[in-house]
Amino acid sequence: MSNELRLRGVAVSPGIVLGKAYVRQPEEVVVPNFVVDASKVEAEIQRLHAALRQTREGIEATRQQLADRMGEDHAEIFDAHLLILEDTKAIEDTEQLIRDSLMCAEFAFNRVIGRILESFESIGDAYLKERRTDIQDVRRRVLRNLTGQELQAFGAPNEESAIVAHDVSPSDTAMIDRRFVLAIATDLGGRTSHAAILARSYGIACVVGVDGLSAQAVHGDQIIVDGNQGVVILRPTAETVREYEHARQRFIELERQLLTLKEFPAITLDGRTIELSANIKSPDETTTAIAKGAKGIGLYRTEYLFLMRGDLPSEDEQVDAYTRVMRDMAPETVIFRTLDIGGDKFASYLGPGHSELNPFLGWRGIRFLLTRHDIFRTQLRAFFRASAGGKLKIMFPMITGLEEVRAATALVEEVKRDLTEEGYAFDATAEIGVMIETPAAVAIADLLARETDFFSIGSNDLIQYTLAVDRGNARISYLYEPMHPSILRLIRNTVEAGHAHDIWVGMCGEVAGDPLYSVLLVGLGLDELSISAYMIPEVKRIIRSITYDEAKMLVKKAMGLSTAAEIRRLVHGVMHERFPDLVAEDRP
Amino acid sequence: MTRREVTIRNELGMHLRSAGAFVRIAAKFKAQIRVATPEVGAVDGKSILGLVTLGASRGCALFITADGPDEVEAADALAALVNDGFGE
Repeated sequence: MSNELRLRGVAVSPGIVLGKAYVRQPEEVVVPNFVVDASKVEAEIQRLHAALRQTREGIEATRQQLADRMGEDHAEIFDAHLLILEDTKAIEDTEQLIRDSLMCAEFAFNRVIGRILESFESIGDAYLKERRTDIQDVRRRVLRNLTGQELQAFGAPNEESAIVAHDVSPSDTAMIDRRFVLAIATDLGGRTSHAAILARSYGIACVVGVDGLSAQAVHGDQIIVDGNQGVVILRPTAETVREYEHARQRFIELERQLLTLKEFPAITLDGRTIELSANIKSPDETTTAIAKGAKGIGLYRTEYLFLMRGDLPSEDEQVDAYTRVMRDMAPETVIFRTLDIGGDKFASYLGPGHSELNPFLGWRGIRFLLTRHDIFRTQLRAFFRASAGGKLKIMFPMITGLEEVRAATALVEEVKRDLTEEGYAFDATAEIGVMIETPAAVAIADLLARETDFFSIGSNDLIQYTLAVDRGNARISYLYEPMHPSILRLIRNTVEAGHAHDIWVGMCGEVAGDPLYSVLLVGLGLDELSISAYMIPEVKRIIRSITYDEAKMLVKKAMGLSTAAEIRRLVHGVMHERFPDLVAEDRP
Repeated sequence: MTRREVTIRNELGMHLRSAGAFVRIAAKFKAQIRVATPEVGAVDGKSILGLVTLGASRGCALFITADGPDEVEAADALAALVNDGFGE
């Protein structure tokens, strides 16, 4: 006589939780509807503006709170909320309704926003449609301030609970207390919903898009949230609970194993060490890199500092950002990639950008920098100024010829001379490397290796340029195949050329961080893998449980095959058998 | 009156952040700005709420109209922003 209810949703943050449901019903603000006396119209409009001001303060406070807790990236959404709040058109329309129809401020404002929300119904794009939750969020705040209703804290469970809600708004996320919230499950939402982003950054289980969940859940119900499989179970039977207790134990054990590896190096059973470092794009990310056991930063994508604004960051601003990263990561190395603008990354103030017919074959990477010495020099100066007392490495993107390397290196030498004269201390032994991301660079890897200190293979671009495929083009994206025989050969050639000249060879890019390829990449002889910090524990575990010999054997077998499909079948089979918990059985 | 036709290029389309960037630039000009898509009629280009209701996703055409003393500069700046994928 069980009334267990098993619902499916979208798994957006891993983890298995058995606990009590804290059901949060959609918050309804009662909207008063009264007629304003014609003589009090101006006072009513003043009341509206007072509420808008109060809301502004509230949003700013939430923004600050979230920035402190989760970083600037997550807080940015509230800048958009402020723009919504101060939308001149909406305010004017509301004022007009108050004046002309003598509506009270609450009713008028609610009607104006309601009309806007109605037009969202016809939007087809799921992501854009979901933005209406932000507008609803701002509306609730204003209405609450107008009516004087208290801000209802997003379920403040005071015991460990799984939050169940119709939806989670950005303002709600700021109020979720990490100590008590073990999991989140919502009726609405997708991978990019606020609940999903919050859960991932907090590392708690989350399932979204569970149709009808909040209506069927009762406060205090026993609940299972399986963020691995995307399943939510209400009022589970004793048998289900036992089943999930086991699943949870297995998951916790796996997590524990991975974390205990943090302090250990990524070394194979027969003693080959791989440097496992992290990719970052902003200084905030060093915390995660360190927590996950990264051996330094293998790719600092400096362009994000330039893309997130409307003008050039000054030398001092750059020094500040770079110093933070160097200081956080000390005594480990930080590899700075010089500004990699162009291709699919543009800032309107930097150049012509998308007016190019073929931006990926256009003015990007080192090509851009070598024509903009002002920007290039400033950045190099900032790298070195930030390097005092640390270990600096610099690499140049989109290299196709030795002339580019020579021109860039000459500028580096000039900058070092200038800084010495100006009396700055810096890491004078900084290694200078190049990214290998064009077939041309692989073909002349022997020549490049003579004049550089290291190679870092940029797998994303190397694959797209070699296979002539735009991954974003759905018709042909199936051609984007890291296991294509041509790609394996290019990686092998690069490693051989580098090692022949005693320089180390690494790889950054998505392929490097996918556990599926880990054994293959070790076998190909790579010395360093720079990957998403979140993948470090898994990749490290693989490296620590294999021998270099067996990895080389796998490469030998793969090299003997003729097509990408054959290689994929081989590698997948081996990896799934050895690491069933890390590599799923089949991949479409 | 100055008109520009552009195409949305950034992955996520005209979402809040991109609409916010648009509004911030539009607000710098005196000209009145209207934005339309082939499906939805014109909305106020200085209103973030108007812009997000366009539901303009990647690949969608956008018609920007500016009217006022600095209309050419305004239309150019806004077209450049959209063409640059809102700097994303």
